Amino acid sequence: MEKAKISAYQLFILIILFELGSALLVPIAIEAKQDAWLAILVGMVGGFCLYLVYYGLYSYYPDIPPTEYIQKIIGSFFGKIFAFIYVLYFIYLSARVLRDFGEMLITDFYWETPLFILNTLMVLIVIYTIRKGIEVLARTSELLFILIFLLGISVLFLIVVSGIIQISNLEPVLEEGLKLVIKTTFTQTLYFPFGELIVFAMILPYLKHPEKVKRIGLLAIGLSGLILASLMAINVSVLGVNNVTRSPFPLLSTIQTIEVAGFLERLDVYFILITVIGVFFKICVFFYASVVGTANLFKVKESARLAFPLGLAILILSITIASNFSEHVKEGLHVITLYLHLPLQVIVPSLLLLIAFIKNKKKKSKQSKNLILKRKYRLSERDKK
Amino acid sequence: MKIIGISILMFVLLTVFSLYMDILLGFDLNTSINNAIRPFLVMEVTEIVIFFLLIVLMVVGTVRNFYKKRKKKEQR
Repeated sequence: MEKAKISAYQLFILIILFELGSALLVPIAIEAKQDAWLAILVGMVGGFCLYLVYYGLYSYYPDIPPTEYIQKIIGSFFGKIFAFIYVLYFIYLSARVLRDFGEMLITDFYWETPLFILNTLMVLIVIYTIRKGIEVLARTSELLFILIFLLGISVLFLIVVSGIIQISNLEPVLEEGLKLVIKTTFTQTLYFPFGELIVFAMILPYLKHPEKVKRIGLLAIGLSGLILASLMAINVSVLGVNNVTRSPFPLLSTIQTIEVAGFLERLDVYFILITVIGVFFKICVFFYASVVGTANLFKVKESARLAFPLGLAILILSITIASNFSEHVKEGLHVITLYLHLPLQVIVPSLLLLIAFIKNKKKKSKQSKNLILKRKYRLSERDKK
Repeated sequence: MKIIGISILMFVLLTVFSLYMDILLGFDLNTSINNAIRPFLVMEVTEIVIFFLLIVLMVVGTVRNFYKKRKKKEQR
């Protein structure tokens, strides 16, 4: 493990940027139609529960990463297999986010540039950051968060001023009942973006103040959930449900409709800046977790040396992952959720927590039995004297 | 050398992972392999040059590190 420490504030920012990363790009929870914002909020509540599961595991083993404590919980052999699956999962997810980023740029801005070149540029920056370590990543996030915050505020101001918000587009609320919202939550928003926080289990051991992990994590999830829900509500109220469903990047379409005083328009650059920064951090966090996990599993002393080869693997994987954007999106919605997200974000961590709980309880009861026996022995010796 | 070995292992497993996801999506094995390879067959010259440059950089970096370590061991 790298000898680095990050502050609670840096973790807070990293979680927010990670959550907003690619979730800002795509129309999340649009299956719930105008109640998409509700589905995100319910997903956020589910995210709280999942985070508490990850926190529970962390509280049992605060100084070691998951790739190590899995081995302690379920044994060395199966532990190593599961840890390896998690590392592959993180790499796969970073390749997916990279593909999202490349497709977004190609579809809307760089029609003539090959996907490979755009992805290469991003991967090279990510590799450079990861080679520098988690502290550099955290400090960069502090800097860029201010920029994202200012951009977000100004976009919101411009959307409100240009008068394009039509609240009637959000009505009727719960047209098809709570069932659709709950279904969308359990098939989408719970896992993407909230369940993906499992990757932070790899970063939590680097925190300076372990006692703040729970509060900071829940606060960051809450804030990012509120931001995502309000942005989705704005998208639907500006574009209407049909347009959001058809648009691959609804936030971009919303920003493109801004027109203030006849000259403040074509603000696409806002969207590019916000998403490029968000996606950069999301890829970085996934990639960092996979590099540290691989180094930990294969006992590589300098984890930074793994950054370039694994970065290359991510780059190639981001190209081969799907033959086109529709396939990529369909795979993400229907296959990844069911076969990867559900078991690796929900089932396995919950089972691990259960086993860790039982193991630690047994240990504690053994320790307390030993203590009682020792006391009894001492008392009996005193009586004899 | 260990680093390259690990990377190749990861890459092969990830490709299998990705192909399996394609199969779960409803493609047969041949189509999913074709889908994975096709983007590399239609690359432009610049893309090919950058792609091979990255691979060469990876190999050169690892080999250089390997020889550096060897020299250090010999000096000791």
